[in-house]
Amino acid sequence: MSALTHGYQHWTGTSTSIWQRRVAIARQGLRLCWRSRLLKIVFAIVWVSALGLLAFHFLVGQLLSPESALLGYIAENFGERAKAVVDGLAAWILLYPDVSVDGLYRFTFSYASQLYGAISFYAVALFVPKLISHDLSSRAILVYNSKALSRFDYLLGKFGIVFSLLSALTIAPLVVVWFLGNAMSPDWSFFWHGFPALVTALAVGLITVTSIGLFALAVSSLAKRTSTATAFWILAWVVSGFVAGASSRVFSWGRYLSPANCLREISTQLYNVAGVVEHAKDVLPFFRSTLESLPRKSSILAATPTESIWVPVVFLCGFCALALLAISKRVQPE
Amino acid sequence: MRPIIETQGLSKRFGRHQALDRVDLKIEPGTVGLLGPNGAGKSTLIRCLLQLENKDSGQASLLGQDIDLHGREVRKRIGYAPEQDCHIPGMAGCEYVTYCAQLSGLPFDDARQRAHEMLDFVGMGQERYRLVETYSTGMKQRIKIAQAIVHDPELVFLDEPTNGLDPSGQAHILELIERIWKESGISVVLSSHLLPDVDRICEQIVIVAQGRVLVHDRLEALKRRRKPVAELTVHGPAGDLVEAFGRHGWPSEVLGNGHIKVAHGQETLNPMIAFLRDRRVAPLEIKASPNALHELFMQALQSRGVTP
Amino acid sequence: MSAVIQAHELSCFYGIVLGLNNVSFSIGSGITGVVGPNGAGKSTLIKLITGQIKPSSGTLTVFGGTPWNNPDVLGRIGYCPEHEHVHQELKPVDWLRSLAVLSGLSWSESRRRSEEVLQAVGLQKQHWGKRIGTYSKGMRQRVKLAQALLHRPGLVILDEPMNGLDPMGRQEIGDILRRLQREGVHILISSHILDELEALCGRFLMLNWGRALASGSQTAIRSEMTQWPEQVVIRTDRPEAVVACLGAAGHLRGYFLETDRAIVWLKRPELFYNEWTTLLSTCDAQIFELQSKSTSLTSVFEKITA
Repeated sequence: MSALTHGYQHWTGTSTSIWQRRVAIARQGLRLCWRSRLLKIVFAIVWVSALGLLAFHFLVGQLLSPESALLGYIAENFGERAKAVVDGLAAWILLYPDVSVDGLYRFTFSYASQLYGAISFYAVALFVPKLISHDLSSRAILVYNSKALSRFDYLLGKFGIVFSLLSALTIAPLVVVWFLGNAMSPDWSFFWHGFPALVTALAVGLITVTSIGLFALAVSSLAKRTSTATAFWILAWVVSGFVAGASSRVFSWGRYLSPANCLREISTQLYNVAGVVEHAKDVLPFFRSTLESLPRKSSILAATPTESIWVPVVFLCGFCALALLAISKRVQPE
Repeated sequence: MRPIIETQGLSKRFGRHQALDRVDLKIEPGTVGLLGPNGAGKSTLIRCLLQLENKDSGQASLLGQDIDLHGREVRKRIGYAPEQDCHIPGMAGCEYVTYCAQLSGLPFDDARQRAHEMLDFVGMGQERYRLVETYSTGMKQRIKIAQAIVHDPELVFLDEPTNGLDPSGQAHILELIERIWKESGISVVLSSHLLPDVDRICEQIVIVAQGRVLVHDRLEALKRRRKPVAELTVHGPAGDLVEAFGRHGWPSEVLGNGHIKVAHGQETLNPMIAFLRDRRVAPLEIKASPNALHELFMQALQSRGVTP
Repeated sequence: MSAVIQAHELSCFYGIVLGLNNVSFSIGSGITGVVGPNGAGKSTLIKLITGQIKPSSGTLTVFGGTPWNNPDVLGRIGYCPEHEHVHQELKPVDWLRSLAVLSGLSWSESRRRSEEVLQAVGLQKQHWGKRIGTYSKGMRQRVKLAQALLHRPGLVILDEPMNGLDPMGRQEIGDILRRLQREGVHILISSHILDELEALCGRFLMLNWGRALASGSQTAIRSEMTQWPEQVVIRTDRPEAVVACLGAAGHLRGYFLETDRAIVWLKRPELFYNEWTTLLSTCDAQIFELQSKSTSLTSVFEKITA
């Protein structure tokens, strides 16, 4: 070993695996997207609302448990009669936990899924140019491809960015609410009864995140400038909604020409809140009149599946395929 | 020694234009100059080797590994500094080079360390903390070279590395490229139109035209095969000297820049030095075959009937 | 020899940003090269000569008149810019014709002149029918040069004409320029590729940081810089023998040995150059080359701009 260590030195180490390199791409992209203050605000809104949802579930749990502080509070302020009414309600609900717990979770989660889905649309508008557009305009694909990566690795890494961001917005809050909500509920059986809702939330979440992710990558690869990419994103959804609306008067499946409608339909079908309400009518005849009035108040409950779930799924797959086509054509090293 | 680049029957066509036509090459380690007219297939060759384009047919291997089977993994040991302006947006210089090292298989800590070492090697100071978008042309060229060698490759492709630089910038980059081979033993494939630079740095020459390899040899060997020519710079009028050379049997002429070109045909300059000593002429300098590469290049193209 | 371009205490500032600073020079006939690092003022000089901007102070005359707002002078100048703003969809003859008509030629006359000029720049007839967008870099460069020659200018200014051209293209543009010079056209080239300029230009103007550092013929500049170069590189099969020889004669201030060459620094350069032929004949080594490191245009440039 010479005394002088100046000049070029060789590297002798073990190189990383391909997955580590893909993760490096995703991490770099996440760092870039996270710099946006607006995005941080959107995240704050979503998680604060999730906290609100958690609080709601906690309160319901408290209502149902016989010796809770909430009941004591009601007793003190509204008199023993109010407490008795609430007690009675609670007893009915506890008799049929599969309807009440399951239905409750499904109801709140389907609202939340739809809300977070809409919010993620806006969130993507905030970072869509940073995905691929900027790389296209500065010819970064050329640099990426000349490294130990293929186009597929690059796209996988980029997909990882949008997948992580959207999962943190749409899936993670619901999972956390489910866990903490059940942990703070009066009975361990709530975990069991709430489980279907969790699975549905995960399924709907994954479908939403994957498809919106692919669309985001596609739009990002079609534009080279920041303003163009954001404009394309917003325009794409507006136009597809318009087209779906117009063509639904002509064709019965016209409304599926908008991916947003497909996602909404799939979400409704999987959550099947209307089905729960139907079931509840049979099981809890006391509440029939209330339950029957609900559909008028909420579109989610009113939406009954008209066709099988496969129609929107097929349309959605078609859109995803188009997105993949656009991405593979546009992401080329120049 | 294992050849760094080997191709058999490599072909690539763009529409009606045959960019590469059954190219067979076997290049030994060292510094290689890749020359050819515009549109000859130089960049297509590099792009096919790096899998930036899909070749139509033929086989190619880099560093002994077939690119179809191990293309992605062999690029862990290959660097590329493209001709075009390209970088990954949104990062400072040192972040960019670190990231490039990670993409080539270095773990983060090693990547960060080597990034700074390489930025020192290419002569970048505090600019490394600024965004790459704000760099001048000279700095962009340097950082291109830094990201090409940060992962300690065995082979580096440099495409017109002095493009757009002013003369001092060109000199620095050339010095840098010389050091890459001499100090570190990394093989360099230099694709350039500036023949004097290639002459100075490259030991092997590959001339490509119309998708085919016209010449592939060591520069020494190519030069030795030519009739030796010298270029003299003298103080004072050159006319008499030209006449004297002519009478001695060495055809010579005065060039546009005032130098005298003498086709002396001797292996060394000693006979000419003796001649000048006898005539009591003391030139400022005698350059041997300064335009050799240029003439070799033109000759190669003309002999195969390549017209501009 | 009358000066084509004359500048006297010429300054040009963009607000507070420096363009040219109190520059005086005169450029005569023939091919002159303008050399300088980035930011030296080359583009400012060209903009002043082509009448795109006005000097802040001092005078600049081209063909005896000031270029600013002066169609008489501007009509005698042809400008071939660095960047291409050529319409990709047009064919060259059409584009040149429209420019010719703008310069005042009649429609019929413009066709004849356009074809003449395309031939002068060596663009072969078979390419005339294709759109400019399909041309190679070399051909596009030629079309740019053609548009500069349309109105038969007396002075042609070229900004980085060799950029991106392969060696054949460079040689051809060089030949065209030499031919123009023989026809009496004055040429001013701004370029970074010093080797090309060295072969092409008889005279130079060197700029740095808005100041003119040197102007004159190649040999004049060199001899003024280094009459007797101090650093010499001798390529030989026995460098130690050469160094021993020169050392014994007392010429060496220092030396550096490489496997195939000896780099020496001279104590008394004038004496060395008087007797080196005799000296090297006596030492027992085969000499392949003797080059002075400090007289190439590149090293002069580096020295001036250091």
